[in-house]
Amino acid sequence: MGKFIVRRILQMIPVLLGATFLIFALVFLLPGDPTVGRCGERPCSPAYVAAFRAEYNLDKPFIVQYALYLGKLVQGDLGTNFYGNSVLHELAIRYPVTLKLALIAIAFEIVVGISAGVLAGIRKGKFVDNLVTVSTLLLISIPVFVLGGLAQMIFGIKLGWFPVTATEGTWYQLLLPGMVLGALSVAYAARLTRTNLVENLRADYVRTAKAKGLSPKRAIGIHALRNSLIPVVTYIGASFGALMGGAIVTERIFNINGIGYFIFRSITQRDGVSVVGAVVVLVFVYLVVNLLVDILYGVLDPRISHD
Amino acid sequence: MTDTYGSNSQPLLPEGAIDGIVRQPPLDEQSAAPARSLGADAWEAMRRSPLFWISAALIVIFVLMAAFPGLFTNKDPYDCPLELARDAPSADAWFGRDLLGCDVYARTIYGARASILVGVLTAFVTAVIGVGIGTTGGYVGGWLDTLLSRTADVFFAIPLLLGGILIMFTFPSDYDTPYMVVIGKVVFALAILGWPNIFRLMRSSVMQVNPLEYVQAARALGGSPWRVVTSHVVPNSMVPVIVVSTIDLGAYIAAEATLSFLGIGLRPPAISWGQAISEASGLGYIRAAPHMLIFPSVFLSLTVLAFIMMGEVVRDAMDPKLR
Repeated sequence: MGKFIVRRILQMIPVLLGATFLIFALVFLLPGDPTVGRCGERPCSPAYVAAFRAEYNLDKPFIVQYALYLGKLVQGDLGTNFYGNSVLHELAIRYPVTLKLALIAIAFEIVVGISAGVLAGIRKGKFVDNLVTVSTLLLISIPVFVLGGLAQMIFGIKLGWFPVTATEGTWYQLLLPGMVLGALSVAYAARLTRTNLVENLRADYVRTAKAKGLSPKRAIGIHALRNSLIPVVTYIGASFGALMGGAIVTERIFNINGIGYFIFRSITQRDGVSVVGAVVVLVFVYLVVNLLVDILYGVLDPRISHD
Repeated sequence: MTDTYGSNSQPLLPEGAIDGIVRQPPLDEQSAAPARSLGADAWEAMRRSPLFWISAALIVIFVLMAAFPGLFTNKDPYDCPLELARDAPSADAWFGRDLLGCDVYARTIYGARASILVGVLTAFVTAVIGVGIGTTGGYVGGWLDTLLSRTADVFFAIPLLLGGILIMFTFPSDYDTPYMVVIGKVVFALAILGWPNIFRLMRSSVMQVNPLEYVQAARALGGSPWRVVTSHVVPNSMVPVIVVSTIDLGAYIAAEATLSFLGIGLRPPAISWGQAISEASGLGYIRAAPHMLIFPSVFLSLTVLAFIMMGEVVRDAMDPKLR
């Protein structure tokens, strides 16, 4: 097991290096002035451009530039925006709210997604199955920002069940935004659970379990479901990427003062250092979460070789 | 539940299937019903699905709307009497008017062009890149395949929306940027992050097709690698790519709208649904003028739905396992 974990972490290193290089290349190397959009809606002053070029070593060969950039990143230096605030600090004071929001979304995804998928899977072709298939298709088709606006309008304003904004970021206030954020992943998780369960219910081992006299509940709940959920776990890890992109939109709609809203505000103020710094952190978080899920996958599925 | 027991009868089928000769229908049966190709089979299955006709109709309507908005409205989307701002739907303006008094119906119709263009172009570019590189990796194999796969892993590691934000932020557009240049930027941003999806799919399906007899035969007959690949390997590996590209097309439309919503995709004077929804989602406006939000939202969601549904119908029809 230890070997497996170490190998996974080692495999992760080239991807991390590659991803940071790609981001670096997209931001600094492509033709175009990297100081564009660093100073709001006006061109940067020559003094700022000079300072920026010096800070990011833009006069050095690009491999050196990248190495120095990576060095800064490893030390947690994401740069200072033009308000003079350290981007890392801005993120540090905001991450608890976004974390809460993400936790609600993931909990929603796991509880509702998996139960809907199981219900549909064991009643394949029946009404519940069709209901789940159609409603997940609808959820997949509605972009998160449309869903957010509609949810705000219906549940916040018309029905008054939930607070319309979540400025303080309490659990209750974050409930509706969290569900909106998780909606897309709920739909995919439900579909994935259903497909896998339907496939596994046909498998020989489930028939054997029934033949030897296990109750259907146990045959499905313990034998089929456990195997069906393994891909769903991977999906939930992968969905983390969409979740973080969605957080930018959700936090904007519900006025949640988290990392997503910070990114949105930085985009509108054309505060490039903040946008790039914060997005890089999110990509990092995404990669680390997926590494953890990968390791967990190895624990859950004994068929994955550990040597 | 019926499934579980239904599978009891399944072992009967493979007995004939293993043999290979038994599976061939007897000659007289063949002449009675001509053998159909997989494509014809799939078409038969799709023809009977109402979902196929619904999504096809929606796609035709939205593509027409994108190509010839004049067919649907004779109003000018840029004709905005400010004194009528936020008017509710009426006989004059069916969907009401937006913040600047523009006709929401006309703007919604004209907004289709951006979404359809970005969706179709991105799906096309990712398919071309993904199929090209995927076929190379899957067919040639060896170190080249490893290199290509690891490169794709790196691109795959960056979530679509986050990467899109970075790229669009690095290449900002302003008021004077030509329409097609802005569209091109969005397509570039989405395609550069989206191609690994198609690459992985194509690579694995090429690797499945590669060892089959007809490919070996083509090679044994002296076909050049180019000929073997273009006339045997690629046509027989394309089905999953077509299906996934159609589904992804819907996702790209949603991604473009999200970028525009965040203010870094299409910007005025270009008209897009994402922008319209962004303008309408201020809290005060949702309360006072919900029509500004609802109509573009419905159109956007229906477009995404149409492509995703079409992709799923085609997939179900092409996949014999699901029949």
